[in-house]
Amino acid sequence: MTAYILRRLGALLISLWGVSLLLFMMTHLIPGNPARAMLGERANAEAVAKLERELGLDRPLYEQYGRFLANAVRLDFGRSIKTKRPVAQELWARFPATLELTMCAMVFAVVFGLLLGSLAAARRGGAFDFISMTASLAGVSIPIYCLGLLLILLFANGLEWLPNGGRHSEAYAVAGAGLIGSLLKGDLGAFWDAAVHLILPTVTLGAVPLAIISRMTRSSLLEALGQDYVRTAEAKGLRPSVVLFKHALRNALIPVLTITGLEFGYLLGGAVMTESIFSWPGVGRWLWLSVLARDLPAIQGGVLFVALLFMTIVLIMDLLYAAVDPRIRAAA
Amino acid sequence: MKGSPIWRRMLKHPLALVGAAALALFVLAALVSFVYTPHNPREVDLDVQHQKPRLIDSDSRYWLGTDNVGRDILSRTMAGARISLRVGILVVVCAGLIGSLLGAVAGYAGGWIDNLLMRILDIMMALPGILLAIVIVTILGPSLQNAMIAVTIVSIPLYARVMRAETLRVKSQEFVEAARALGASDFRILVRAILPNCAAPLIVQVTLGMGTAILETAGLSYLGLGDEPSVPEWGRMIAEEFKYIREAWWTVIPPLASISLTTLGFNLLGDGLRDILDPRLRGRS
Repeated sequence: MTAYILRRLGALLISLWGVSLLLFMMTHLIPGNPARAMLGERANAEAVAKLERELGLDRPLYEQYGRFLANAVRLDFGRSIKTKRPVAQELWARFPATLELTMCAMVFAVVFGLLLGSLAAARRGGAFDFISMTASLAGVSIPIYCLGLLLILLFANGLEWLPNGGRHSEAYAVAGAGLIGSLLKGDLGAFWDAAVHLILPTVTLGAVPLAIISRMTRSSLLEALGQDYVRTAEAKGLRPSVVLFKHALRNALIPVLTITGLEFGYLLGGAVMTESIFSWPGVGRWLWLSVLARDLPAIQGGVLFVALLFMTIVLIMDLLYAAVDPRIRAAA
Repeated sequence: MKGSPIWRRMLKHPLALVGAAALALFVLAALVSFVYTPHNPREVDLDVQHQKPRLIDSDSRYWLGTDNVGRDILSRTMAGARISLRVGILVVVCAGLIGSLLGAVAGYAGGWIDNLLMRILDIMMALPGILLAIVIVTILGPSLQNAMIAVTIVSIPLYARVMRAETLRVKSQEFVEAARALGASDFRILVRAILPNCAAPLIVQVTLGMGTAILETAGLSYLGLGDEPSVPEWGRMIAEEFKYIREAWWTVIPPLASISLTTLGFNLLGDGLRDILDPRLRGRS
């Protein structure tokens, strides 16, 4: 297992280096001047030259990349053009909000995805199967921003049951609060307020992974239900629910675990949209505002940070996968 | 079932038919918009800002109402279908061609070429697609054309992976070995023997890819990385009207429904085609 972990860690480092090279090449080799892109087409040559000097764009390419890589290893992504603050500092300040949202969305997707997928497989060919699988296909098809807007229209503007954005109300505007923060402080009012603010963004962000997990659970479970050990369990006279949940589902979970890890990547990408719709003060919204401001160091740092997060999560899922299934370790 | 034409097998797949019907409506709206729209989709008329749709207000001159600067939403939605159709086709053709070529070469050549190409594509896939697209559009500058280029680049690895897997499967088959034994060149084997036999999964990927391309390009437009506001692009229309959602909620419904239905149509059709074209899935639900 140690050799497997080391090999996977090595692959992660190579991928991260590749992403850094890809990001650097895209910024420097694609036609167009990054400094001019940041300042806009109307900027004068003097301002462009000044920004080029500030960003080190006037140096040779290999020197620029060396400096970019050396800084990135120390998680130093430079300073944001807009706020003049270190990009890493900006990212860490917003990371808890994004982590809270993505974790809630993932828990929502896994719990409901497993439940829907299992019930659909158990009632294969029935009305529940048809409705839940068609709904999950619709879930994959509706763009994240469309679903978010529909939910806002219905539950925030129409029924006025839930807030239409933000992480908390004015009354609970305490720095670093959120769901966990308010719970640790023992402030139940703030906790309830944070939970209510989380509902719509969680459903919006979790809808696509929920749909994918439920479809994967269904097909994986159907395959498991056709295996000999399930027939043996049924022949022993076990109740159908015990056969389904104790025997078949446990074996059907392995591919579901893999897809769940990959869905984290979707969540991190989807967080840009969800956070921008719901004014959620996380990394995604910050990245979007940086894009609109053409703040290149912020974009590079933010994307590298998200890539690091995504790859770390995939690595953890791979290791879990290997721990659950010894065949993976043997094959590796 | 086996051996019957695709369209006949599709008739027995109700969800694929629903998808095809939704897409037929989308293509029809796009084609009609070339010759007719009720109003000029770009014409601003500040006297008729946020007019209600005729369904709500029978005196209204506008079937789906008007937006914040008085442009007809029905006309803009129809013109938006034309833009989305163009986006879908161009992205899928470009990404499909480049991706398939890379995948076929990687799968056929094997060895270091396969390793190198696949590692590059792995790195591209290590980033969430929308983020990679955002970076590309930021560098190229916001416009619909650049959003399409970004979505094309992001989509290439998907086609390459499908094509590589198929090439690996097909290249070990006897007819390929027979062609090689007869002295056919690698290029001829690739083009005449391998590519035509990889068509089925590629057709499925293209169908699903059209929906994704439209969705992602509209997403970039929604984030403000597409064309200027006067261009009737669905994502942009939603972004423009979102701030007036409290007083004029009807303005976002048509583009929102159009994007969702079109993507759903492509997904239903793609899923149906997968069932129909893949013999291993036939008979399994």
